[in-house]
Amino acid sequence: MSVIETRELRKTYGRIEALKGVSIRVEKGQIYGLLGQNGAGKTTLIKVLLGIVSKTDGEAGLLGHAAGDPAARRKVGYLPEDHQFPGYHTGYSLMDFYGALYGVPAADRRRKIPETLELVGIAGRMNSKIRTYSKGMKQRLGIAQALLHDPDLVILDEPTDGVDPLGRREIRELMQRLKDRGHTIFLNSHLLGEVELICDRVAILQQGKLVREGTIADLTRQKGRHEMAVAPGQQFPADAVMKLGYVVTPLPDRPDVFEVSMPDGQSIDPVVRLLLDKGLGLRHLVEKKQSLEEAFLATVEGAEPGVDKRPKGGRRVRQVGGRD
Amino acid sequence: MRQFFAILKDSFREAVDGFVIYLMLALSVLLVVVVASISFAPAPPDEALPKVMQNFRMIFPDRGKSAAPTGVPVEYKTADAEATPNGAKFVLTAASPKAPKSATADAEKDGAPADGFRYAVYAWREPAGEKNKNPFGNRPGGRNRNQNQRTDLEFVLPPPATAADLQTVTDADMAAFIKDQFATFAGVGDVTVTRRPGVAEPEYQFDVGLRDISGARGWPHAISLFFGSVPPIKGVPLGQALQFIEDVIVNGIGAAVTLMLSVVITAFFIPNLLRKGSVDLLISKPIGRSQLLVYKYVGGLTFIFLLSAVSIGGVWLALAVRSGQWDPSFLLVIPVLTFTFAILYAVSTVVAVFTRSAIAAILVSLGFMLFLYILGQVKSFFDMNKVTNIMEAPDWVYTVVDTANNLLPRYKDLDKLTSKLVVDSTLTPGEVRLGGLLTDYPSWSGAIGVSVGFIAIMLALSCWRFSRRDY
Ligand SMILES: Nc1ncnc2c1ncn2[C@@H]1O[C@H](COP(=O)(O)OP(=O)(O)OP(=O)(O)O)[C@@H](O)[C@H]1O
Ligand SMILES: [Mg+2]
Repeated sequence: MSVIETRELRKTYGRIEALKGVSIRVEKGQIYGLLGQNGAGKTTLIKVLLGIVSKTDGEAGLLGHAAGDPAARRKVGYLPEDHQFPGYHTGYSLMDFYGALYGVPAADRRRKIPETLELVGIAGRMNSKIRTYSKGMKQRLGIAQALLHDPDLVILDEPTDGVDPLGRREIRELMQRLKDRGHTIFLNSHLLGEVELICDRVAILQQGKLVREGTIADLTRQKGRHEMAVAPGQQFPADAVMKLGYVVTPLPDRPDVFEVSMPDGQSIDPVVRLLLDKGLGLRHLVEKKQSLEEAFLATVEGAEPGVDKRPKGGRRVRQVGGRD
Repeated sequence: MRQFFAILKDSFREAVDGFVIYLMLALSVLLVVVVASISFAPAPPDEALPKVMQNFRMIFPDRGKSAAPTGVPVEYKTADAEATPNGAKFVLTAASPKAPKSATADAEKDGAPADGFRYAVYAWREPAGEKNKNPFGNRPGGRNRNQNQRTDLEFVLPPPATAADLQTVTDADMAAFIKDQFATFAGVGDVTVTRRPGVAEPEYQFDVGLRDISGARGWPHAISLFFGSVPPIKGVPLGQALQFIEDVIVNGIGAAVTLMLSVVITAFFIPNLLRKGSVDLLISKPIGRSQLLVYKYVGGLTFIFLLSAVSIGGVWLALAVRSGQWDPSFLLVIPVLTFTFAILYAVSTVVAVFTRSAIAAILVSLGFMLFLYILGQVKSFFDMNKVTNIMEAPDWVYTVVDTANNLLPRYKDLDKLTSKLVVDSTLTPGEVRLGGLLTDYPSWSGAIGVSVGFIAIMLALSCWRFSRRDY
């Protein structure tokens, strides 16, 4: 059973199509990242899963229940984006309230709340009113409240928003520990460097459509592009390789290294064989990779930077973030 | 259950977060302290007895069981009044006002035999006579659509009696009559009456002993405010003073202020919950949305419940300690006030769910409160008009007013019913019954039933909207 599964999921807000048939599947124990420009539909996908908005069409399931069923949410922790905790609570009392809503017994709450707040580093302020917290402290509290009831699945919508670099690393480590304990994490983030560091799989949404999905390695691999170099003193047979149908260009900064791109369906093996036949020594062969950021930018290329505009019948589309 | 209490506790936190609740609690405590500063001292017998016995001409026939009174003029006088510990001892003389004629059958014509006292006891002992006509009379064209309003006042005529009938009245009947009059009009239950022999009829003398007059509802008391620092108000029957404090001050002014302030404070609860950024936090918890909303609604009610429990419970306790009247009926005002608020808060909830605006919720709920109040007044007026026909009004006006009153929550009725609770628990049985003749009381079941129905519809509407909306 998958932890999250959607099939052809659609959501329209009035005339805005926020999700246009998204199918994803998240397995237990994964850290799954959902990427996309502002307004791509990431938050909407999460909200459908949690029943905060209703789906328009398609299927969505969470831990074996239909999305929207309160029972499905029992084992889910959720950190919304732009959350506003009631200011009249203290960190402790808020955790106590939410814990009770999740059905955590009072004795467990008393024990676990300080522990969990310690984990996110705000235990020292747990008896102050939330209205006195800084942005990052609220964010940490938000993560803590998503973890208190020991959920199977943790959904985090931009968890490191407003958190300082040190805190971001702590949160990353926390997520890693959760994963090690068998929890599944579903995460929206714009910080691709972080996503690259911790996610097992990522999906990229664009204008409500799933445009890429796979492991980090899948996404960053540049199909059919390799860097090659032969032993010092030998000459790379660029012309011979080109005759085989490959494109060869020397790297601008390292003239002895050549980038070899092959036509579709071809492998690099004939080039390697050619080098060996010619008695040349192969010293350097690397499949070219991109950073996740490069891969992401390449994927969403063409879209205007910043906002995922979705022209619909020539009508200008509403703004980022969603007004309700 | 755990979720329910969690939300109650959360609402409580939200309520005590602002300063207004503390202000209101402070006002409640102040009220309780002022009430506790009042002391009640029974008036001495020679002052009190003439006042109490003024009412003795009124008689409830059928040994005091008849609902409608009749009247027989007899003069009651006291002599040798003496105060005893928490009581009084005196000689009661009853005499006919007219010069004694023999009680003959012809005296029946004017309905008052010459031996007035025997006749009074006879009228008290026997079942009620014929009903009197509506003293206002139904004017031509007056309406008698009588829904739940009385259209004629009930009085009964004393039954006709012959001289022989009057002789069936025994000394024991007389003693029982006097005891019953003290119970009915003074609220004094512990009375001993012995007829003095050797007094020529139609004059009668009795040795009367009263006990437990302090705390008796109809006994005049001296009332001093602020721990006796201002001169006392004298001669007020205890029950009337208690009724004024409980009904006019607490259940009237106090309740209205509490209701309005509570509407204002609680109107923020649901819009706050629905604010962007807050609402996802709650509805992503494993709890159904309707459940969440209803719990939150009940949470809003705990606010006024606590407040009224403090003020009404405090006033009740202070009055009970000070006056010795421990009747707990007044405490029922706590749930009734909470229930009245529940009607307004249901309106506030609907408006909040649909508009997410606290201001809109406040305006509409207060407007609704005013509307119900006016409707109640209009309804009372037209009910009266059915009898008196002061104003010519076409039939449809009555239909509209009655239908509106039948369908909408009975805000005014609840108010009348709590007033009745207070009246019943403070005034003497005689005053209660006379009051009942003048005022018509709605039924609890009607008032609560229709209001519960209204609340249910409002909540259903709110839940429907809340459950279907995307946040
Ligand atoms: N409640 C709403 N009513 C109408 N439109 C909405 C609503 N919520 C979101 N949208 C629209 O749906 C689209 C997707 O929004 P969503 O919040 O899912 O984007 P996102 O990918 O989370 O963006 P960001 O990175 O800025 O958080 C946007 O065009 C947004 O304007
Ligand atoms: Mg978002």
